[in-house]
Amino acid sequence: MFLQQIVNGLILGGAYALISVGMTMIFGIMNIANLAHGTIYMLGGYCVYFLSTVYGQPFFLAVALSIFIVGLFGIAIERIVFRPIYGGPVLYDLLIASGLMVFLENGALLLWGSQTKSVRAPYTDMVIHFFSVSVTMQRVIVLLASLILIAALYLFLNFTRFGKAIVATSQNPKGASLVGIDLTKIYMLTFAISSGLAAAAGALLAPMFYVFPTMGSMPVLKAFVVVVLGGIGNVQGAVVGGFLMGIAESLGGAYISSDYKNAFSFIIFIGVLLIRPQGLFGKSQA
Amino acid sequence: MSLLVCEKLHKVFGGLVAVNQVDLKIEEGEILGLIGPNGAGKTTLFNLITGFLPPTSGRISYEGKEITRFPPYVLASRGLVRTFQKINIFPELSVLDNILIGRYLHIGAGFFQSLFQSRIHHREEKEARDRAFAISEFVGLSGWEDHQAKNLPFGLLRTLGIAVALATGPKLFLLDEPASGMNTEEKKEIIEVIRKIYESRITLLLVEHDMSVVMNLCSRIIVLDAGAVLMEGNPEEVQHDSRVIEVYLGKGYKRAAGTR
Amino acid sequence: MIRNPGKNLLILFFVLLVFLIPVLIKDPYYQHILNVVFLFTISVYGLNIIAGITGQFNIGHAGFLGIGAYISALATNSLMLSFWLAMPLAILGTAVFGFLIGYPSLRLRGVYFALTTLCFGEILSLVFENWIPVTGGPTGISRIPAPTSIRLSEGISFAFDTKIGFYYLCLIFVLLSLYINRQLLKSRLGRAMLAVRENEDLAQSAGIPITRTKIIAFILSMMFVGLCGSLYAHYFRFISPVSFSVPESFRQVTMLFVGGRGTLLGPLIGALIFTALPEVLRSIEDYQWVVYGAILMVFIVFLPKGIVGLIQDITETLRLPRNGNREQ
Repeated sequence: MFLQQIVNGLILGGAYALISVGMTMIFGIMNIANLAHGTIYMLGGYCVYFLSTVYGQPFFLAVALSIFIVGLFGIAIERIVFRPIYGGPVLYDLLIASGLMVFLENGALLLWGSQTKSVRAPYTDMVIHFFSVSVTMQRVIVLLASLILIAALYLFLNFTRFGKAIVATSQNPKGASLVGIDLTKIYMLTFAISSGLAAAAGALLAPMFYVFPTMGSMPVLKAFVVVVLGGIGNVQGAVVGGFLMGIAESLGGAYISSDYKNAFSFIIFIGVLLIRPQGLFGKSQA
Repeated sequence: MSLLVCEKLHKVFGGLVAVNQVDLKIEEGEILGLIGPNGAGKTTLFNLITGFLPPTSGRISYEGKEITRFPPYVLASRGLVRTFQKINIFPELSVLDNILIGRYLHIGAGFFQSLFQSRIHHREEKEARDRAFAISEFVGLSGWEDHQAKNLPFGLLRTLGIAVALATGPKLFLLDEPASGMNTEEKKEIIEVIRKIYESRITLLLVEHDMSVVMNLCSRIIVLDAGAVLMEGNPEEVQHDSRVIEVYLGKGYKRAAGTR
Repeated sequence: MIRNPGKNLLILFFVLLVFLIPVLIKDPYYQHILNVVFLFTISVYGLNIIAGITGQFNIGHAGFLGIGAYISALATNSLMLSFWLAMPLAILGTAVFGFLIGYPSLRLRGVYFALTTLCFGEILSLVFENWIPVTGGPTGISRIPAPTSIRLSEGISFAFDTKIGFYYLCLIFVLLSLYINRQLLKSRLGRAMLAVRENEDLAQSAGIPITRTKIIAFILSMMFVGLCGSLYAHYFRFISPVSFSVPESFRQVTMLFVGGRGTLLGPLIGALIFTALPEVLRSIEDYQWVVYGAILMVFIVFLPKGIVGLIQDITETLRLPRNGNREQ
């Protein structure tokens, strides 16, 4: 039972990692607390629903397309919603993100209804057993996909020109622009990547957790918890934190209480913030 | 007894020693200048003294009492006030309200007195406003009182910052590069304001990059380099000291100092 | 010393008008709308103190409203207390709660405080939904009594179980809230709060204790919220977790920013717009949340100081020349 929960937690954690990485990038590079990130995750879910269930595309192709489509949408959001308030008073970004979140969530509700949509994925009938754990093949592939995306991000950030520019900007924006890095492009790219990853999480988890307009509201809060604990702007922290969060939630839900399952992350969050405002991995922004 | 004493003040960031066992004294009634090349640790030292940064080790005492690690608002209540190099004002408030905020420590009437509109409240508010107007005139902001602070011309923004700090009624006034970013005209005006402040018997510590400002105003100067005190003396002595020249201009100019 | 007799006369006129409204407007539907406007005005005045004046955003605001409401409802329904005891209890309870939560979290920088309150809001929602023995879960608490009548003497009594009666009760509290906010802004405490919002570093070096000021602001804010929660519970006579959820917090934040954050009339105008308009334009009921989100975004970008702020800016620009040509 315990091992089973760990495995479930890892799968969940992979998705949390994807969402958190995107959020920590936006937070660290652009100093924006993007509360609307959860709606991006939600859009990824709806995208894969429409592509696979309505238009009959194969599941993993639909996931890839969703990443691309929502990534583009992320760029649009950056330009239309966030760019006008750069350099404004602090916390206005949080407010505008709230507005965006309410707008998108309820827009989805209006357009697609409140009924949860289910997405069928391949390999659900193949079940793997090892030790006392049983996992469907589909879930294993989801975990693999998450890991592949994270690895791809890692390679991108460390070995490509744009990736290194992003890292440089996160450490020192003024210095980066002085060296000739075009901040506008960096911001666009950051949003695109972040949205794409969140969409991937939404799409990959869609078969397991269904698709509905408010599906992103809890994950975004948990992502914030992970981001703060892992250190703002700290990608490794976000990845590790995401997996830990998934496992903690899985274990907590199974052993302590499933009603208040969602509360654990918040309590941990508040506890850590009060004791150690820099998070567990630091980048002292608090 | 010196007004401010720093004993073996030391600050380390990671592996970097920003302030290295600095001993420093400020005597009441003087204008002390703190200069040094970029990266010498002037700003860090300044932040240590004014409570914006905790020292790694060392002591600071003010009026004979220890104030190490005291937060800025407590220091302000004791009369130790600073200004900022970067422009710091309350943008959305009027110029008068900006200065009025500086009178926070001198208004006894709190929220309840205001709620009941007591006579104490009215009287103290009037006193505070009068004082704020007086300060506005003193620093040269007459006529601007009703304007929103963010609408002030650039040169007057720093003046406003000084006015806000002045309103707290300081005994020891620390100015962080007050002339930075100013043109010649503005610099002259700032120097005048600082001189007036000194003449109203407030002790000053001036961190400044601009030599003309420092040499003009300060009776005593401390030179910092690489986090440690290089020398101290009056302007004449500092200007001709070969170590100072070397630190600012490089070794090649050491001999040139002698031919002055 | 009356500085502006014309202005004071105008204010007096409006106050009289407002007192006479129930006589002029007899339709209970509109009276109901006004009552709801007043309720949210009080809540948004509370939000104004912590978010508008002090600049610390409490995104869990509606959850605290729920605390006030549940305390008051439980006081009358389970403890069999009169409303007139339940209400102060709600104010006190919410304020205490505010202190417990605010004390540790207000020492954090702005964004972290906002996120913390968001988490608290979610936790409170969860508790309201799941702690069934106390809160009644999703079905909430019903059969909450209206405030009991006050009998002054033989024949003179005030009843509050009618819409008109409640109108006057709320009106008094709204005027009180207005007065408190006004006096706050004229006191050194109010100025300190503004200073904290505008520039924490400068405020600190001017002698203002930042964290203490924020905590006081938060407690004050919670007192308003507790009051509103209690009034809410005893007006609608039924409360459920849905009214105290995080989306409701966002709605009230939108009210504050559309009306004008940090201003005196902003909360009233915001509450008016967002309560009256959806009622009047029933046809857009399905779209209202999408509209709220869009409005918040538009206002933050184009009109961050809200309607009242805009009016203030316009009058200031008209009143003062841009250049200080007055300097000699």
